[in-house]
Amino acid sequence: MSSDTSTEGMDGTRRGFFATMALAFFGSVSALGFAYPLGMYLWPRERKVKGAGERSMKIPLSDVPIGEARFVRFLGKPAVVVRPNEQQVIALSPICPHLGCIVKWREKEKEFLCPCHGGRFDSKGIVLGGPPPFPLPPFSSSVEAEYIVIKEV
Amino acid sequence: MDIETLHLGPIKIKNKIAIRLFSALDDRLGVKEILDDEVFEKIVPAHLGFWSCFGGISFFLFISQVLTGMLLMVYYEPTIEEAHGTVAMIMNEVPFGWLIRGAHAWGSNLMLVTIMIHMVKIYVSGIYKPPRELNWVVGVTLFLLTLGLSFTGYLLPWTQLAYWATVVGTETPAALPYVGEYIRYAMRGGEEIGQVTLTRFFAIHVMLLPVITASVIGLHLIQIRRQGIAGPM
Amino acid sequence: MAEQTQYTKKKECEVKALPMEEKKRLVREGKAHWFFPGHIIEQIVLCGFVVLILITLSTVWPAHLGEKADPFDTPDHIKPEWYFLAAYYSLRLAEYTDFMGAWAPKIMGIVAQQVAVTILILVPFLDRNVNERRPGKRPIAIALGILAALMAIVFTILGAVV
Repeated sequence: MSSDTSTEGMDGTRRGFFATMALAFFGSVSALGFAYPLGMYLWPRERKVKGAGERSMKIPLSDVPIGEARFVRFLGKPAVVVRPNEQQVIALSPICPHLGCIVKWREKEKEFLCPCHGGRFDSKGIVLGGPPPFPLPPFSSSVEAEYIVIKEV
Repeated sequence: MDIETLHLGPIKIKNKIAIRLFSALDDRLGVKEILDDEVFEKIVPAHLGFWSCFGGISFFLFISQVLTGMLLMVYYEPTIEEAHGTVAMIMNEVPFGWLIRGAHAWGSNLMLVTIMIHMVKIYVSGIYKPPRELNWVVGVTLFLLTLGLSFTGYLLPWTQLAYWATVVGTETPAALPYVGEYIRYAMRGGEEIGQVTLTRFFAIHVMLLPVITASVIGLHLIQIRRQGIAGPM
Repeated sequence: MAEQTQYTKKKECEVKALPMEEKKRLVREGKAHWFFPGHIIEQIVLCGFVVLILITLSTVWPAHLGEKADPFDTPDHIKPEWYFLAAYYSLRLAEYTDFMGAWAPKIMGIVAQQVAVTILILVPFLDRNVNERRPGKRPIAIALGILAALMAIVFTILGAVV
């Protein structure tokens, strides 16, 4: 926009030009001076989540009857422990890789079903059907003296 | 508008696109008339001196309080467990948090000072006299609202001094006959000062009083617009 | 002078309606200024100055955060903020009204505060001298004003030290 701001007594476009430039300069400097601290202030802090820090957790074996699943909080996020039969203990992230809903365990079918868009997974988290693009991420799990120990992979 | 040059007060705009855009707005909203009346062809009395600027400064400080207050609300949590900690976090961990809280705390004190100077100036030069009596009443109301904002805001960091100042401050009206006990009960939200008190002080401080104050400032300014700025003595 | 009084006595809407030539004349004769750009720049500079003051104060004397509230431990010296000191002192002063009865001290203090605020609100209606604005020509109003201001200042100081 080639507007020249010449006021009365300030004739000639040159003075108007310099005035505009000076105004633009101080304007942008002060705008930056406000924008920088504002942006820094508003940028989210990293906050410690309760339970974060412990990289493993223990659950009594008796808490998870055979054929059932238990949902627990692990590293600040949900985790599920399931015992489909006598031998197997499986720990998974129940967050559906499609759009982030929490899957449900269906005892009869021995599979996970996502309530949002019907994604189906077997007890190991492998996709059986529906929109999920990849399996449920696993945690490592082992049984140590009547306890199930979940660890990050 | 089919013109070569657009005159806005001392500004001359020759750019064709700018003129087309401006004309489009003007055809729909009549912006030229408003801009001329309120900005470009407006005159202000020449006699306004240093002592006349404190009302305006108080207004600017109110805006500054609203802005810094909104920023503080991003991190502040109004619970008796977290309030003190979140204010400490704002001051010690959040970048420039010390500045935002500092500007808010100093702003409240400064605002009361500028309002007091403004009131003294209005009193000494007799500006409260007809036709401006009502605006004095509105102005005193604004002063009281600002005191209310200071009182409620003071408790929010949940410090020892704030807590006990509020104990005493809410105890004072309890001395009034008949209504005193009820006033105290309403201010505290119960018999004791606790979470309910903090919650209601927070609601009053960040929503109720600011909205009322902004509206009353509107009344104050509308009256000035209608009556004009008081002339020299 | 008479003309100037005339202009400044006009309502905003009347000033707005003045013909451009008249406005130009008022500006030329130094009775008025253009709002744009002079007055606007003045306002922006003033606001910038206030922001600078706020930043300076916050830097030099950072806001203080006291200890976390403890409902089981009253600190030794509780004082309200400076703007409530005068009211605080008036409560203490009211303790001397106990000759009127045991009820008096608590009630007199708060009643006195209400009366003071009411008088402040009613100033334009209590001052019956409606036309004279020059401070030198209205000695009573100014004397009462100084008295009230002095009282507020003295009460504030006493509230801080007592």
